[in-house]
Amino acid sequence: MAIVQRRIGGIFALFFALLLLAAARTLYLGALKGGSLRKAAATQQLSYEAVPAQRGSITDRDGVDLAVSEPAQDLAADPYLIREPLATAQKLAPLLGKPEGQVLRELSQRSGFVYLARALPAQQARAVMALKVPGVTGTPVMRRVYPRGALAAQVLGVVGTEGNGLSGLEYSSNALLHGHTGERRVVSDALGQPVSISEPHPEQAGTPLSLTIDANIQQRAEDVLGAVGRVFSPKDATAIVMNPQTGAILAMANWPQVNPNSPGASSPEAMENRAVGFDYEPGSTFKAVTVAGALQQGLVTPTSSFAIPDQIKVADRTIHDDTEHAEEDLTTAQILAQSSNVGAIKIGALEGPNDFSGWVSRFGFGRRTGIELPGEEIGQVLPVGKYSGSSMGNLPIGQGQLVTPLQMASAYAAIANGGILRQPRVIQSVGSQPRPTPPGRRVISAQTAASLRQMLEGVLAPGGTASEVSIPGYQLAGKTGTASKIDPATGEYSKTAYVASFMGFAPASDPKLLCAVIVDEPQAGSIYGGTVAAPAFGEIMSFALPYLRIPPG
Amino acid sequence: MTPPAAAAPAPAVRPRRAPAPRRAPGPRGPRRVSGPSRPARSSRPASTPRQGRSRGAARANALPLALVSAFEALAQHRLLDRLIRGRTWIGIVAFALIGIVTLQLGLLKLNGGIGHAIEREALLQRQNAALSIENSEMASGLRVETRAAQLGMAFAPTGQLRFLGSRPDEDVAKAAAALTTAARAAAAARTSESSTSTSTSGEPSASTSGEAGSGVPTQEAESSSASSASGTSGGSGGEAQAGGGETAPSGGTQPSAGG
Repeated sequence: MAIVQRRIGGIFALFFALLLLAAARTLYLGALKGGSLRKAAATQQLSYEAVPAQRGSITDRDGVDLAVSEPAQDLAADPYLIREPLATAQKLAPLLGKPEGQVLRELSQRSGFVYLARALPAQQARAVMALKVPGVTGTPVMRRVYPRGALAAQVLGVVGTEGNGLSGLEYSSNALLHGHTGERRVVSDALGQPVSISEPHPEQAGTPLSLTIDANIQQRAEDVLGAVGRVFSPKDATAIVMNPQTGAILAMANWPQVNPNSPGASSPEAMENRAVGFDYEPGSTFKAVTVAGALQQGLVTPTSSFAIPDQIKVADRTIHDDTEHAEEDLTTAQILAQSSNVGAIKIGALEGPNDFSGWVSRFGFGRRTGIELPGEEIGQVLPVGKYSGSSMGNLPIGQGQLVTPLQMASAYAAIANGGILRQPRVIQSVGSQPRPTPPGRRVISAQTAASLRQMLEGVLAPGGTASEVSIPGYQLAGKTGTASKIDPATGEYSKTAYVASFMGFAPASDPKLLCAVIVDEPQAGSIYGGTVAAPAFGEIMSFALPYLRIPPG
Repeated sequence: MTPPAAAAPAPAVRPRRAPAPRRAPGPRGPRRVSGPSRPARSSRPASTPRQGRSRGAARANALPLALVSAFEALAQHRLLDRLIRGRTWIGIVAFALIGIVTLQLGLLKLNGGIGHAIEREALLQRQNAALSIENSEMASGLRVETRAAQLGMAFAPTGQLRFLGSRPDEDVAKAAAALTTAARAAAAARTSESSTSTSTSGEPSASTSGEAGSGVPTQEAESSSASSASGTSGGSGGEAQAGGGETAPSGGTQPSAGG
């Protein structure tokens, strides 16, 4: 019995000793080594991962993706942990698509952190991570891809390495497109398998944008501008196609083109959207505004006759018509069709500086159109108080003031739609919410607009300045413009640098489509709006009209 | 020192303790009934102002007390008592332990599943983006034109596109006539074919069945003639058509510019 009791006592003592040992160990791990173990556990078991938000896609009016985001990774290395930089560089370089020497230089830096690649496509990044090179880590990010390459590149803009828009719609709508990066808490077991995953801050995807742009019309416009670039070697060119009834932009093309998938390859100037950022003197295309004001005020009618010599003296300046001619009688319609400078100045004189200035302002010149694109210029319009004696010899013919292509297109859209100036727009819907058409503001009466449209038909009729342009079945209307540019060296109008432009719409009686083409400094062949820009207008419209199923008229 | 025992010797035999008097047989008292104790009846009238003030506090205390009492009653319940004293609880505890382990395993599996789901989500996101890009690239006008050119198609040149006017009266009559003619022709061909084959071998001739206008089923003939008729009417309603060699009906409501 005593033996049994002794054994029981021994076992008890053993267990008690083990208990004491366990307590001591617990005390040691919990109190003495607690801090370091907690840190180790946090790094080995617990991790917080950034969950990049999917940037909202940008699609055309038919849902064709123009800008999409795909998962990618930023790859970084800790050069201190790279034991064999040369061998590692040899392995990594082909997968990163970089020269071996460059990767070696990066891996040999005396730094604890160096980027090997930013926004590397996920497949490539996975291949790199599969090598399990110690010291190479990947951070999930989103990569912006423009599937159509250069298509509408200046309108769409580009996204920087940090995922923020840098230009174009990517910049102006960044708050909508960006979304919010989330955070994921992952607890892993000893094998690295996640045993608990939670998202304290779920990521929030960006809102997709649907544009009013039509990818096919945009492509056509860019192709046509490309041809203009090849033939006339201009400094740059831009074209706008819009629905004059709603102000919806169907195409906004720029030349030269840039590839937003590799924005570093292009100059910052090339990324500029000239449709909104190019200030130019509109030249003869502005005569429609001059005539619109006079018609609306009842100062002239389409058949009012004027005696037109081939030059006119205004204050200290003499302004010539484009060609020498004897004095002739021209109606208002003929003045527009033949683009007579003298005639336009005479009509402007009938209005007087105050009224003329009022019409310029009423048609929206001198302020932004309000389109959702960044970098919009306001142009430069002389206040009536600053008019000189010769201003009324310059301004009615579109010289001496600066406008943007979009301002001109908007003004012509007002003429085309019956007299309502609308804010042009390029965003059709945000998410699933369609953007309403802005109400617009009447600038001229429907009757005046109709008279003007009829007069502008004469520009493309025999004897007009763009008579060579026609689209079978469609009645076209428009106005050519050839404006001298100021020579920065002399401060005078250049004899070699011009802006050739054409503003037109169709069908003339009930316009459904408007197209503006502006070619800056055409070098080879011709410099005139009628021969440089008007044919481009014809090419774009001949595609767009049947494509949009606009019946002839 | 003399021990006291020696002075007064103890009795040799201890006197037996007198047995406790047995309880008189009779009805036992009632066992204590578990459950909340009844609140003591108060002699104070219910409508005293002091009680009115403390009634809210008393109600607030009543619920925890009731819960405690209920728990106590449960703990002292006969069934539970029997369960604990028996062997069934071993099974229950074993079941609970196995359940806890299974639950933990399930949780681990679930978390692993979440991990896989997240990976799959990322994969699908990648695939979705890749498909979007591919879709956009394939819808490119340039690619479509190139592919069409490979298939022998040509892009209609400027000025060759035109609109055909719709003339509801004439077009419908024309289409109906075309359908009737085609149906009659097919029926006649079938009749002549069957008579020929009967006269020669008595079996349908396989050689003629595939030729145009002879062995074509009536429905096909009708549909082909219908499609040709609709082609002639030209998608009335403003459909643009390539008008290279097409015969457009004259006198349409829309001006015909091509050709």
